[in-house]
Amino acid sequence: MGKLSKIEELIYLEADLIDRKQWPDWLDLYTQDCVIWVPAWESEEALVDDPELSINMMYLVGKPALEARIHRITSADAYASLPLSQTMHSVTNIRIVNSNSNDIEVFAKWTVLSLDPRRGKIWRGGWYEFIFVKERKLIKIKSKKIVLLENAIDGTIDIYQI
Amino acid sequence: MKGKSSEVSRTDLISEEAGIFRVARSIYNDPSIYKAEMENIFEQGWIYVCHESQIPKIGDYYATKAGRQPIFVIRQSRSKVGGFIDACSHRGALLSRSRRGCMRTITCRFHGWSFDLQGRCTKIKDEEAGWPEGVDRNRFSLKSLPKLEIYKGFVYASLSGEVPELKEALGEAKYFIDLVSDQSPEGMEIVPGSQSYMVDGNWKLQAENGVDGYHVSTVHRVFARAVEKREAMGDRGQLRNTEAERITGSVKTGVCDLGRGHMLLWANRGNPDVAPLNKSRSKLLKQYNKNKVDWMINKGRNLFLFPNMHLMDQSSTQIRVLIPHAPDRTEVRVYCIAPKGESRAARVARLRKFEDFFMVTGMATPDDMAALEDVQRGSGGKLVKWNEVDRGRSLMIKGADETVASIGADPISSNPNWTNETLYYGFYTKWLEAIT
Repeated sequence: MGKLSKIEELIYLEADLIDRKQWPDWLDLYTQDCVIWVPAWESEEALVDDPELSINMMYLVGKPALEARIHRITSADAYASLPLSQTMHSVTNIRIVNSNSNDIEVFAKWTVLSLDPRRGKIWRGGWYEFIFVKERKLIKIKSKKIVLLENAIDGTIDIYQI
Repeated sequence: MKGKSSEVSRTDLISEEAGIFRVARSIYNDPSIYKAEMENIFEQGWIYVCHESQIPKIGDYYATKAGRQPIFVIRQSRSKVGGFIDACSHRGALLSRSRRGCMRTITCRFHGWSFDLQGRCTKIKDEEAGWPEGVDRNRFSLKSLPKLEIYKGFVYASLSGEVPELKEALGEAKYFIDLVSDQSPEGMEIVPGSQSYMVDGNWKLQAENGVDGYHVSTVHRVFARAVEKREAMGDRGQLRNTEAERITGSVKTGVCDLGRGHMLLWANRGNPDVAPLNKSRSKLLKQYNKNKVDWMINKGRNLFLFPNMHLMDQSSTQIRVLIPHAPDRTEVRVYCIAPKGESRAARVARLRKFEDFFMVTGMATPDDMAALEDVQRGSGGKLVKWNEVDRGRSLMIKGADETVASIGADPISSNPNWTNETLYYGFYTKWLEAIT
Protein backbone atom coordinates (compact mmCIF):
# COMPACT_ATOMS: atom_id res chain seq x y z
CA MET A 1 0.00 0.00 0.00
CA GLY A 2 1.22 3.49 -0.83
CA LYS A 3 1.70 6.09 1.84
CA LEU A 4 -1.51 7.98 0.98
CA SER A 5 -3.57 4.77 1.04
CA LYS A 6 -2.21 3.87 4.46
CA ILE A 7 -3.07 7.31 5.79
CA GLU A 8 -6.54 7.20 4.28
CA GLU A 9 -7.16 3.80 5.82
CA LEU A 10 -6.12 5.12 9.22
CA ILE A 11 -8.35 8.19 8.98
CA TYR A 12 -11.33 6.06 7.96
CA LEU A 13 -10.56 3.66 10.79
CA GLU A 14 -10.58 6.51 13.31
CA ALA A 15 -13.93 7.75 12.01
CA ASP A 16 -15.40 4.29 12.25
CA LEU A 17 -14.07 3.59 15.75
CA ILE A 18 -15.62 6.83 17.02
CA ASP A 19 -18.98 6.13 15.38
CA ARG A 20 -18.97 2.59 16.78
CA LYS A 21 -17.88 3.98 20.18
CA GLN A 22 -14.89 1.64 20.45
CA TRP A 23 -13.03 4.01 22.74
CA PRO A 24 -9.95 1.96 23.78
CA ASP A 25 -9.23 1.18 20.12
CA TRP A 26 -9.68 4.84 19.27
CA LEU A 27 -7.24 5.90 22.01
CA ASP A 28 -4.70 3.39 20.65
CA LEU A 29 -4.45 5.44 17.46
CA TYR A 30 -2.85 8.31 19.38
CA THR A 31 0.66 8.83 20.74
CA GLN A 32 1.10 9.38 24.47
CA ASP A 33 2.03 13.04 23.90
CA CYS A 34 -0.74 13.67 21.39
CA VAL A 35 -2.57 16.98 21.00
CA ILE A 36 -6.14 17.60 19.89
CA TRP A 37 -6.73 21.29 19.23
CA VAL A 38 -10.05 22.86 18.31
CA PRO A 39 -9.37 26.60 18.06
CA ALA A 40 -12.04 29.15 19.02
CA TRP A 41 -13.03 31.89 16.61
CA GLU A 42 -11.46 35.26 17.40
CA SER A 43 -13.84 36.97 14.99
CA GLU A 44 -16.24 35.88 12.28
CA GLU A 45 -13.27 35.54 9.93
CA ALA A 46 -10.29 34.46 12.01
CA LEU A 47 -9.42 31.62 14.36
CA VAL A 48 -7.15 32.11 17.35
CA ASP A 49 -3.61 31.17 16.37
CA ASP A 50 -1.78 30.59 19.67
CA PRO A 51 -3.44 27.75 21.57
CA GLU A 52 -1.36 28.29 24.71
CA LEU A 53 -2.40 31.92 25.21
CA SER A 54 -5.90 31.92 23.71
CA ILE A 55 -9.28 30.48 24.51
CA ASN A 56 -9.80 27.32 22.51
CA MET A 57 -12.91 25.23 22.08
CA MET A 58 -10.72 22.30 23.09
CA TYR A 59 -7.00 22.02 23.71
CA LEU A 60 -6.28 18.51 24.89
CA VAL A 61 -2.60 17.93 25.50
CA GLY A 62 -1.48 14.38 26.23
CA LYS A 63 -3.43 11.16 26.24
CA PRO A 64 -4.75 11.61 29.82
CA ALA A 65 -6.80 14.57 28.52
CA LEU A 66 -8.41 12.28 25.94
CA GLU A 67 -8.96 9.61 28.57
CA ALA A 68 -10.75 12.17 30.75
CA ARG A 69 -13.15 12.87 27.89
CA ILE A 70 -13.79 9.17 27.40
CA HIS A 71 -14.29 8.75 31.13
CA ARG A 72 -16.87 11.52 30.98
CA ILE A 73 -18.89 10.23 28.06
CA THR A 74 -18.86 6.60 29.20
CA SER A 75 -19.68 7.46 32.84
CA ALA A 76 -23.45 7.51 32.31
CA ASP A 77 -23.24 10.44 34.74
CA ALA A 78 -22.75 13.36 32.34
CA TYR A 79 -26.11 15.03 31.80
CA ALA A 80 -25.32 16.03 28.23
CA SER A 81 -24.01 12.58 27.33
CA LEU A 82 -26.91 10.47 28.48
CA PRO A 83 -28.14 9.33 26.10
CA LEU A 84 -25.07 9.64 23.87
CA SER A 85 -25.66 11.02 20.39
CA GLN A 86 -25.35 8.66 17.47
CA THR A 87 -22.79 9.98 14.99
CA MET A 88 -21.62 9.47 11.44
CA HIS A 89 -18.18 10.85 10.57
CA SER A 90 -17.47 11.33 6.90
CA VAL A 91 -13.93 12.35 5.94
CA THR A 92 -12.92 13.42 2.43
CA ASN A 93 -10.36 15.48 0.45
CA ILE A 94 -7.45 13.70 2.14
CA ARG A 95 -4.09 15.09 1.00
CA ILE A 96 -0.54 14.67 2.22
CA VAL A 97 0.79 18.21 2.36
CA ASN A 98 4.18 17.55 3.88
CA SER A 99 6.20 14.49 4.65
CA ASN A 100 9.66 13.76 6.03
CA SER A 101 11.32 10.81 7.68
CA ASN A 102 9.43 11.41 10.96
CA ASP A 103 6.20 13.28 10.33
CA ILE A 104 3.45 13.14 7.76
CA GLU A 105 1.24 16.19 7.63
CA VAL A 106 -2.23 15.59 6.21
CA PHE A 107 -5.21 17.84 5.48
CA ALA A 108 -8.78 16.60 5.14
CA LYS A 109 -12.40 17.78 5.30
CA TRP A 110 -15.07 16.39 7.61
CA THR A 111 -18.77 16.38 8.12
CA VAL A 112 -20.44 14.78 11.11
CA LEU A 113 -24.11 13.99 11.42
CA SER A 114 -25.14 13.79 15.09
CA LEU A 115 -28.50 12.57 16.24
CA ASP A 116 -28.85 14.63 19.36
CA PRO A 117 -31.49 13.40 21.83
CA ARG A 118 -32.64 16.97 22.53
CA ARG A 119 -32.28 18.68 19.19
CA GLY A 120 -32.54 15.94 16.60
CA LYS A 121 -30.31 15.96 13.53
CA ILE A 122 -27.31 18.26 13.65
CA TRP A 123 -24.88 18.58 10.74
CA ARG A 124 -21.51 20.03 11.51
CA GLY A 125 -18.46 20.39 9.33
CA GLY A 126 -14.94 21.68 9.04
CA TRP A 127 -11.48 20.48 8.32
CA TYR A 128 -8.76 18.40 9.92
CA GLU A 129 -5.02 18.96 9.99
CA PHE A 130 -3.22 15.82 11.15
CA ILE A 131 0.37 15.09 11.97
CA PHE A 132 1.14 11.37 11.89
CA VAL A 133 4.32 9.79 13.23
CA LYS A 134 5.86 6.35 12.97
CA GLU A 135 6.04 4.63 16.33
CA ARG A 136 7.54 1.12 16.29
CA LYS A 137 6.41 0.33 12.75
CA LEU A 138 2.92 1.72 13.43
CA ILE A 139 1.62 5.05 12.23
CA LYS A 140 0.01 7.04 15.04
CA ILE A 141 -1.70 10.38 15.36
CA LYS A 142 0.54 12.91 17.06
CA SER A 143 -1.64 15.91 16.54
CA LYS A 144 -5.05 16.70 15.16
CA LYS A 145 -6.30 20.22 14.66
CA ILE A 146 -10.04 20.31 14.17
CA VAL A 147 -11.48 23.45 12.65
CA LEU A 148 -15.18 23.72 13.47
CA LEU A 149 -16.91 26.17 11.15
CA GLU A 150 -19.68 27.18 13.55
CA ASN A 151 -18.95 30.21 15.67
CA ALA A 152 -22.29 30.24 17.48
CA ILE A 153 -22.76 26.70 18.63
CA ASP A 154 -26.21 25.23 18.70
CA GLY A 155 -26.29 22.38 21.19
CA THR A 156 -23.44 20.84 23.12
CA ILE A 157 -20.30 19.36 21.57
CA ASP A 158 -18.03 16.66 22.91
CA ILE A 159 -14.94 15.06 21.44
CA TYR A 160 -16.83 12.34 19.55
CA GLN A 161 -19.12 14.78 17.72
CA ILE A 162 -16.57 16.63 15.58
CA MET B 1 -41.01 53.31 35.02
CA LYS B 2 -43.44 54.20 32.29
CA GLY B 3 -44.97 52.17 29.49
CA LYS B 4 -45.34 48.87 31.31
CA SER B 5 -47.42 46.09 29.86
CA SER B 6 -50.15 45.85 32.43
CA GLU B 7 -51.65 42.57 31.17
CA VAL B 8 -49.25 40.67 33.40
CA SER B 9 -50.74 40.03 36.84
CA ARG B 10 -48.31 39.86 39.76
CA THR B 11 -50.02 37.17 41.77
CA ASP B 12 -50.03 34.78 38.82
CA LEU B 13 -46.24 34.93 38.63
CA ILE B 14 -44.95 34.98 42.18
CA SER B 15 -46.72 33.93 45.34
CA GLU B 16 -45.69 34.18 48.96
CA GLU B 17 -48.82 32.54 50.26
CA ALA B 18 -48.40 30.74 53.60
CA GLY B 19 -44.83 31.98 53.83
CA ILE B 20 -43.58 29.93 50.87
CA PHE B 21 -41.92 31.74 47.98
CA ARG B 22 -43.25 30.35 44.70
CA VAL B 23 -42.41 31.18 41.10
CA ALA B 24 -44.78 30.21 38.29
CA ARG B 25 -43.28 27.86 35.72
CA SER B 26 -45.04 29.82 32.97
CA ILE B 27 -42.49 32.62 33.37
CA TYR B 28 -40.04 30.50 31.39
CA ASN B 29 -42.21 30.06 28.32
CA ASP B 30 -45.07 32.59 28.20
CA PRO B 31 -44.59 34.94 25.19
CA SER B 32 -46.49 37.80 26.88
CA ILE B 33 -44.12 37.69 29.85
CA TYR B 34 -41.14 37.64 27.49
CA LYS B 35 -42.50 40.71 25.70
CA ALA B 36 -42.93 42.52 29.02
CA GLU B 37 -39.33 41.63 29.94
CA MET B 38 -37.98 42.96 26.67
CA GLU B 39 -39.92 46.22 26.99
CA ASN B 40 -39.39 46.86 30.68
CA ILE B 41 -36.05 45.26 31.54
CA PHE B 42 -33.78 44.89 28.52
CA GLU B 43 -35.05 47.98 26.66
CA GLN B 44 -35.50 50.21 29.74
CA GLY B 45 -32.84 49.50 32.31
CA TRP B 46 -29.07 49.16 32.37
CA ILE B 47 -27.65 46.21 30.47
CA TYR B 48 -24.04 45.06 30.31
CA VAL B 49 -22.58 45.50 26.81
CA CYS B 50 -18.87 44.66 26.78
CA HIS B 51 -15.55 45.19 28.53
CA GLU B 52 -13.59 48.30 27.65
CA SER B 53 -10.54 46.23 26.74
CA GLN B 54 -12.51 44.84 23.78
CA ILE B 55 -12.56 48.29 22.16
CA PRO B 56 -9.09 49.70 22.93
CA LYS B 57 -8.46 51.83 19.82
CA ILE B 58 -10.37 54.83 18.47
CA GLY B 59 -13.07 53.51 16.12
CA ASP B 60 -13.17 50.05 17.71
CA TYR B 61 -16.74 48.94 18.13
CA TYR B 62 -18.72 46.10 19.70
CA ALA B 63 -22.20 45.21 18.39
CA THR B 64 -24.95 43.48 20.34
CA LYS B 65 -28.63 43.81 21.19
CA ALA B 66 -30.47 45.65 23.94
CA GLY B 67 -33.57 43.52 24.18
CA ARG B 68 -34.74 43.25 20.60
CA GLN B 69 -32.92 46.37 19.41
CA PRO B 70 -29.54 46.33 17.66
CA ILE B 71 -26.94 48.60 19.27
CA PHE B 72 -23.20 49.19 19.08
CA VAL B 73 -20.72 50.95 21.31
CA ILE B 74 -17.68 52.61 19.80
CA ARG B 75 -14.51 54.26 21.12
CA GLN B 76 -14.75 57.94 20.17
CA SER B 77 -11.53 59.11 21.80
CA ARG B 78 -8.94 57.74 24.19
CA SER B 79 -11.20 58.49 27.13
CA LYS B 80 -14.68 58.35 25.66
CA VAL B 81 -16.94 55.53 24.54
CA GLY B 82 -20.23 56.31 22.77
CA GLY B 83 -23.13 54.14 21.70
CA PHE B 84 -25.77 54.18 18.99
CA ILE B 85 -28.74 52.28 17.70
CA ASP B 86 -27.12 50.05 15.08
CA ALA B 87 -29.05 51.37 12.10
CA CYS B 88 -28.35 53.91 9.39
CA SER B 89 -30.39 57.10 9.73
CA HIS B 90 -31.34 56.80 6.05
CA ARG B 91 -32.99 53.40 5.49
CA GLY B 92 -32.12 51.56 8.69
CA ALA B 93 -29.45 49.13 7.50
CA LEU B 94 -27.16 47.80 10.24
CA LEU B 95 -23.93 49.79 10.42
CA SER B 96 -21.79 47.19 12.18
CA ARG B 97 -20.15 44.71 9.84
CA SER B 98 -19.33 42.08 12.37
CA ARG B 99 -19.61 41.61 16.10
CA ARG B 100 -16.41 43.54 16.68
CA GLY B 101 -14.23 45.66 14.43
CA CYS B 102 -12.90 49.14 13.77
CA MET B 103 -14.60 52.02 11.92
CA ARG B 104 -12.79 55.38 11.94
CA THR B 105 -15.65 56.63 9.79
CA ILE B 106 -18.98 54.88 10.13
CA THR B 107 -20.05 54.14 6.57
CA CYS B 108 -23.32 52.48 5.67
CA ARG B 109 -22.78 49.71 3.14
CA PHE B 110 -26.23 50.15 1.59
CA HIS B 111 -26.31 53.68 0.06
CA GLY B 112 -22.86 54.78 1.17
CA TRP B 113 -23.71 57.47 3.73
CA SER B 114 -20.98 58.30 6.24
CA PHE B 115 -20.99 59.37 9.88
CA ASP B 116 -18.25 60.50 12.25
CA LEU B 117 -17.64 58.82 15.60
CA GLN B 118 -20.02 61.28 17.25
CA GLY B 119 -22.75 60.04 14.91
CA ARG B 120 -22.96 63.19 12.80
CA CYS B 121 -23.75 62.63 9.14
CA THR B 122 -20.68 63.73 7.21
CA LYS B 123 -21.43 62.50 3.71
CA ILE B 124 -24.52 61.74 1.66
CA LYS B 125 -23.69 59.98 -1.58
CA ASP B 126 -24.54 62.18 -4.61
CA GLU B 127 -26.09 64.74 -2.28
CA GLU B 128 -26.42 67.56 -4.82
CA ALA B 129 -28.12 65.34 -7.41
CA GLY B 130 -30.83 64.36 -4.91
CA TRP B 131 -31.24 67.69 -3.11
CA PRO B 132 -30.28 70.43 -5.60
CA GLU B 133 -31.82 72.92 -3.14
CA GLY B 134 -29.49 71.61 -0.37
CA VAL B 135 -30.24 69.43 2.65
CA ASP B 136 -29.61 69.77 6.37
CA ARG B 137 -27.45 66.78 7.26
CA ASN B 138 -28.00 67.45 10.98
CA ARG B 139 -31.34 65.76 10.78
CA PHE B 140 -29.57 62.54 9.82
CA SER B 141 -27.42 62.13 12.95
CA LEU B 142 -27.32 58.58 14.31
CA LYS B 143 -29.51 57.88 17.33
CA SER B 144 -27.30 57.94 20.42
CA LEU B 145 -28.04 55.51 23.22
CA PRO B 146 -29.80 57.53 25.94
CA LYS B 147 -27.33 56.33 28.59
CA LEU B 148 -23.87 54.83 28.50
CA GLU B 149 -21.60 54.54 31.53
CA ILE B 150 -18.53 52.52 32.41
CA TYR B 151 -17.80 51.05 35.82
CA LYS B 152 -14.19 49.83 36.19
CA GLY B 153 -14.00 48.79 32.55
CA PHE B 154 -17.51 47.27 32.34
CA VAL B 155 -19.48 49.13 29.68
CA TYR B 156 -23.22 49.49 30.35
CA ALA B 157 -25.95 51.07 28.25
CA SER B 158 -29.63 51.86 28.64
CA LEU B 159 -32.26 52.60 26.02
CA SER B 160 -34.04 54.75 28.59
CA GLY B 161 -32.62 57.98 29.98
CA GLU B 162 -34.62 57.50 33.18
CA VAL B 163 -32.24 55.20 35.03
CA PRO B 164 -30.21 55.85 38.16
CA GLU B 165 -26.48 56.37 37.81
CA LEU B 166 -24.72 53.11 37.01
CA LYS B 167 -22.84 53.10 40.33
CA GLU B 168 -26.11 53.36 42.19
CA ALA B 169 -27.71 50.65 40.03
CA LEU B 170 -24.83 48.24 40.71
CA GLY B 171 -25.28 48.86 44.43
CA GLU B 172 -23.73 46.28 46.75
CA ALA B 173 -22.56 44.23 43.77
CA LYS B 174 -19.75 46.77 43.33
CA TYR B 175 -17.78 45.19 46.19
CA PHE B 176 -17.68 41.94 44.26
CA ILE B 177 -17.01 43.50 40.85
CA ASP B 178 -14.03 45.22 42.46
CA LEU B 179 -12.69 41.85 43.61
CA VAL B 180 -12.16 41.10 39.91
CA SER B 181 -11.36 44.53 38.50
CA ASP B 182 -8.76 45.27 41.19
CA GLN B 183 -6.71 42.12 40.60
CA SER B 184 -4.03 43.93 38.62
CA PRO B 185 -2.77 47.52 38.82
CA GLU B 186 -2.52 47.42 35.03
CA GLY B 187 -6.22 46.56 34.76
CA MET B 188 -8.02 43.59 33.33
CA GLU B 189 -8.30 42.38 29.75
CA ILE B 190 -10.39 40.02 27.69
CA VAL B 191 -8.23 37.19 26.38
CA PRO B 192 -8.35 36.37 22.61
CA GLY B 193 -10.93 33.77 21.67
CA SER B 194 -14.49 33.41 22.90
CA GLN B 195 -17.51 31.25 22.38
CA SER B 196 -21.18 31.86 21.70
CA TYR B 197 -23.74 29.17 22.19
CA MET B 198 -27.47 28.91 21.79
CA VAL B 199 -29.48 27.39 24.61
CA ASP B 200 -33.03 26.19 24.03
CA GLY B 201 -34.09 27.69 27.33
CA ASN B 202 -35.30 30.90 28.94
CA TRP B 203 -32.73 33.53 29.93
CA LYS B 204 -33.82 33.42 33.59
CA LEU B 205 -32.83 29.75 33.81
CA GLN B 206 -29.33 30.83 32.77
CA ALA B 207 -29.41 33.64 35.33
CA GLU B 208 -30.35 31.18 38.10
CA ASN B 209 -27.97 28.44 37.05
CA GLY B 210 -24.87 30.62 37.22
CA VAL B 211 -25.42 31.18 40.96
CA ASP B 212 -26.99 27.83 41.81
CA GLY B 213 -24.82 25.91 44.24
CA TYR B 214 -27.35 23.12 44.70
CA HIS B 215 -26.84 21.45 41.29
CA VAL B 216 -23.06 21.32 41.55
CA SER B 217 -22.67 18.07 43.47
CA THR B 218 -24.95 16.21 41.06
CA VAL B 219 -24.46 17.84 37.65
CA HIS B 220 -20.71 18.45 38.02
CA ARG B 221 -19.73 15.34 39.97
CA VAL B 222 -18.63 13.81 36.67
CA PHE B 223 -16.47 16.84 35.94
CA ALA B 224 -14.62 16.41 39.23
CA ARG B 225 -14.08 12.70 38.51
CA ALA B 226 -12.89 13.26 34.96
CA VAL B 227 -10.34 15.83 36.13
CA GLU B 228 -9.27 13.56 38.99
CA LYS B 229 -8.69 10.78 36.50
CA ARG B 230 -6.66 13.03 34.25
CA GLU B 231 -4.49 14.09 37.18
CA ALA B 232 -4.02 10.51 38.34
CA MET B 233 -2.77 9.62 34.87
CA GLY B 234 -0.03 12.21 35.02
CA ASP B 235 -1.53 15.40 33.78
CA ARG B 236 0.55 18.56 33.76
CA GLY B 237 0.93 20.08 37.24
CA GLN B 238 -0.20 23.53 36.21
CA LEU B 239 -3.72 22.26 35.69
CA ARG B 240 -4.10 21.09 39.25
CA ASN B 241 -7.65 21.31 40.35
CA THR B 242 -8.82 24.04 42.70
CA GLU B 243 -12.40 22.99 42.60
CA ALA B 244 -12.81 19.41 43.78
CA GLU B 245 -13.76 20.46 47.31
CA ARG B 246 -16.37 22.85 46.02
CA ILE B 247 -17.99 20.16 43.98
CA THR B 248 -18.17 17.69 46.84
CA GLY B 249 -19.33 20.47 49.16
CA SER B 250 -16.62 20.06 51.79
CA VAL B 251 -15.71 23.76 52.04
CA LYS B 252 -17.46 26.77 53.52
CA THR B 253 -19.97 28.34 51.15
CA GLY B 254 -22.73 30.93 51.06
CA VAL B 255 -25.15 32.96 48.98
CA CYS B 256 -26.42 36.52 49.10
CA ASP B 257 -29.32 38.52 47.76
CA LEU B 258 -27.41 41.71 47.02
CA GLY B 259 -30.50 43.78 46.22
CA ARG B 260 -31.56 45.30 42.87
CA GLY B 261 -31.70 41.80 41.40
CA HIS B 262 -27.97 41.13 41.83
CA MET B 263 -26.95 37.80 43.37
CA LEU B 264 -23.77 36.28 44.79
CA LEU B 265 -22.63 32.74 45.41
CA TRP B 266 -19.28 32.05 47.04
CA ALA B 267 -17.23 29.09 48.21
CA ASN B 268 -13.84 28.77 49.83
CA ARG B 269 -11.22 27.32 47.52
CA GLY B 270 -10.04 23.95 48.76
CA ASN B 271 -6.64 24.60 47.31
CA PRO B 272 -6.13 28.37 46.86
CA ASP B 273 -2.37 27.86 46.39
CA VAL B 274 -2.95 26.76 42.80
CA ALA B 275 -5.34 29.62 41.92
CA PRO B 276 -3.73 31.63 39.11
CA LEU B 277 -3.98 34.82 41.19
CA ASN B 278 -2.14 33.33 44.16
CA LYS B 279 1.21 34.31 42.64
CA SER B 280 0.21 37.98 43.11
CA ARG B 281 -0.79 37.63 46.77
CA SER B 282 2.06 39.63 48.31
CA LYS B 283 1.67 42.39 45.72
CA LEU B 284 -2.06 42.63 46.39
CA LEU B 285 -1.54 42.73 50.17
CA LYS B 286 0.50 45.91 49.74
CA GLN B 287 -2.47 47.55 48.05
CA TYR B 288 -5.56 46.16 49.76
CA ASN B 289 -6.51 45.00 53.23
CA LYS B 290 -6.27 41.37 54.22
CA ASN B 291 -10.01 40.71 54.04
CA LYS B 292 -10.24 41.92 50.47
CA VAL B 293 -7.26 39.85 49.35
CA ASP B 294 -8.72 36.86 51.16
CA TRP B 295 -11.96 37.32 49.23
CA MET B 296 -10.00 37.65 45.97
CA ILE B 297 -7.83 34.57 46.32
CA ASN B 298 -9.27 32.20 48.92
CA LYS B 299 -12.86 32.31 47.71
CA GLY B 300 -14.44 31.42 44.41
CA ARG B 301 -17.30 33.75 43.51
CA ASN B 302 -20.14 33.76 41.00
CA LEU B 303 -21.76 37.14 40.70
CA PHE B 304 -24.94 37.74 38.74
CA LEU B 305 -25.48 41.32 37.66
CA PHE B 306 -29.11 41.97 36.82
CA PRO B 307 -30.25 41.39 34.16
CA ASN B 308 -27.73 39.98 31.72
CA MET B 309 -24.25 39.20 33.02
CA HIS B 310 -22.37 36.74 35.18
CA LEU B 311 -18.95 37.68 36.45
CA MET B 312 -17.30 34.54 37.75
CA ASP B 313 -14.02 33.97 39.50
CA GLN B 314 -13.75 30.35 40.47
CA SER B 315 -11.54 27.83 38.70
CA SER B 316 -11.01 30.55 36.09
CA THR B 317 -12.39 34.03 35.44
CA GLN B 318 -15.34 34.49 33.17
CA ILE B 319 -17.78 37.03 31.81
CA ARG B 320 -20.95 35.34 30.61
CA VAL B 321 -23.40 37.56 28.74
CA LEU B 322 -27.03 36.54 28.26
CA ILE B 323 -28.81 37.70 25.10
CA PRO B 324 -32.44 36.55 24.96
CA HIS B 325 -33.71 35.66 21.47
CA ALA B 326 -37.12 34.16 22.37
CA PRO B 327 -38.89 32.85 25.51
CA ASP B 328 -37.23 29.48 24.97
CA ARG B 329 -34.02 30.54 23.29
CA THR B 330 -31.01 32.38 24.70
CA GLU B 331 -27.63 33.24 23.25
CA VAL B 332 -24.75 33.04 25.70
CA ARG B 333 -21.41 34.71 24.96
CA VAL B 334 -18.49 33.72 27.17
CA TYR B 335 -15.19 35.53 27.59
CA CYS B 336 -12.14 35.00 29.76
CA ILE B 337 -11.21 38.14 31.70
CA ALA B 338 -7.71 38.14 33.16
CA PRO B 339 -5.27 40.48 34.93
CA LYS B 340 -3.05 42.31 32.47
CA GLY B 341 0.58 41.49 32.93
CA GLU B 342 0.12 38.18 34.78
CA SER B 343 2.82 35.53 34.36
CA ARG B 344 2.65 33.20 31.39
CA ALA B 345 2.22 30.19 33.70
CA ALA B 346 -0.73 31.81 35.50
CA ARG B 347 -2.34 32.82 32.21
CA VAL B 348 -1.95 29.37 30.69
CA ALA B 349 -3.43 27.69 33.78
CA ARG B 350 -6.33 30.17 33.80
CA LEU B 351 -7.14 29.48 30.14
CA ARG B 352 -6.97 25.69 30.39
CA LYS B 353 -9.23 25.74 33.45
CA PHE B 354 -11.62 28.00 31.53
CA GLU B 355 -11.77 25.56 28.62
CA ASP B 356 -12.30 22.63 30.99
CA PHE B 357 -15.36 24.12 32.66
CA PHE B 358 -16.86 27.12 30.89
CA MET B 359 -17.01 26.16 27.23
CA VAL B 360 -19.95 24.36 25.68
CA THR B 361 -17.23 22.16 24.17
CA GLY B 362 -15.79 21.59 27.67
CA MET B 363 -16.56 19.09 30.42
CA ALA B 364 -19.08 20.95 32.60
CA THR B 365 -21.07 23.61 30.72
CA PRO B 366 -22.64 21.04 28.34
CA ASP B 367 -24.18 19.37 31.38
CA ASP B 368 -25.62 22.65 32.66
CA MET B 369 -27.06 23.33 29.25
CA ALA B 370 -28.66 19.90 28.95
CA ALA B 371 -30.17 20.24 32.44
CA LEU B 372 -31.57 23.70 31.68
CA GLU B 373 -33.07 22.50 28.43
CA ASP B 374 -34.76 19.69 30.33
CA VAL B 375 -36.15 22.25 32.81
CA GLN B 376 -37.43 24.31 29.89
CA ARG B 377 -39.21 21.29 28.46
CA GLY B 378 -40.46 20.14 31.86
CA SER B 379 -41.91 23.58 32.52
CA GLY B 380 -44.26 22.96 29.62
CA GLY B 381 -46.19 20.64 31.95
CA LYS B 382 -48.73 23.34 32.68
CA LEU B 383 -50.79 21.31 35.13
CA VAL B 384 -48.03 22.03 37.63
CA LYS B 385 -48.18 25.73 38.19
CA TRP B 386 -45.51 26.58 40.74
CA ASN B 387 -41.86 26.05 41.59
CA GLU B 388 -41.28 26.37 45.31
CA VAL B 389 -38.15 28.36 46.00
CA ASP B 390 -38.03 27.48 49.65
CA ARG B 391 -34.82 25.65 50.42
CA GLY B 392 -32.95 27.19 53.35
CA ARG B 393 -35.54 29.86 54.09
CA SER B 394 -35.29 29.36 57.86
CA LEU B 395 -31.50 29.71 57.68
CA MET B 396 -31.62 33.04 55.87
CA ILE B 397 -30.00 35.92 57.73
CA LYS B 398 -31.16 39.48 57.24
CA GLY B 399 -28.29 41.64 55.97
CA ALA B 400 -24.70 40.44 55.99
CA ASP B 401 -23.39 37.33 57.71
CA GLU B 402 -19.93 37.43 59.24
CA THR B 403 -18.12 36.44 56.06
CA VAL B 404 -19.84 38.96 53.83
CA ALA B 405 -19.56 41.68 56.47
CA SER B 406 -15.77 41.24 56.39
CA ILE B 407 -15.64 42.99 53.05
CA GLY B 408 -18.07 45.74 54.02
CA ALA B 409 -20.99 44.73 51.80
CA ASP B 410 -24.55 45.19 53.03
CA PRO B 411 -26.77 42.70 51.18
CA ILE B 412 -30.53 42.23 51.67
CA SER B 413 -29.92 38.72 52.99
CA SER B 414 -27.23 36.08 53.39
CA ASN B 415 -27.39 32.33 53.71
CA PRO B 416 -24.52 30.25 55.06
CA ASN B 417 -24.88 27.42 52.55
CA TRP B 418 -24.68 27.73 48.80
CA THR B 419 -27.27 25.01 48.23
CA ASN B 420 -29.94 27.32 49.60
CA GLU B 421 -32.25 29.23 47.32
CA THR B 422 -32.94 32.46 49.15
CA LEU B 423 -30.70 34.52 46.86
CA TYR B 424 -33.37 34.23 44.16
CA TYR B 425 -35.88 36.27 46.20
CA GLY B 426 -34.11 39.48 45.28
CA PHE B 427 -33.81 38.51 41.64
CA TYR B 428 -37.49 37.67 41.27
CA THR B 429 -38.64 40.62 43.37
CA LYS B 430 -36.70 43.02 41.16
CA TRP B 431 -37.90 41.20 38.04
CA LEU B 432 -41.55 41.35 39.12
CA GLU B 433 -41.30 45.01 40.02
CA ALA B 434 -39.86 45.76 36.59
CA ILE B 435 -42.43 43.95 34.46
CA THR B 436 -45.71 44.61 36.28
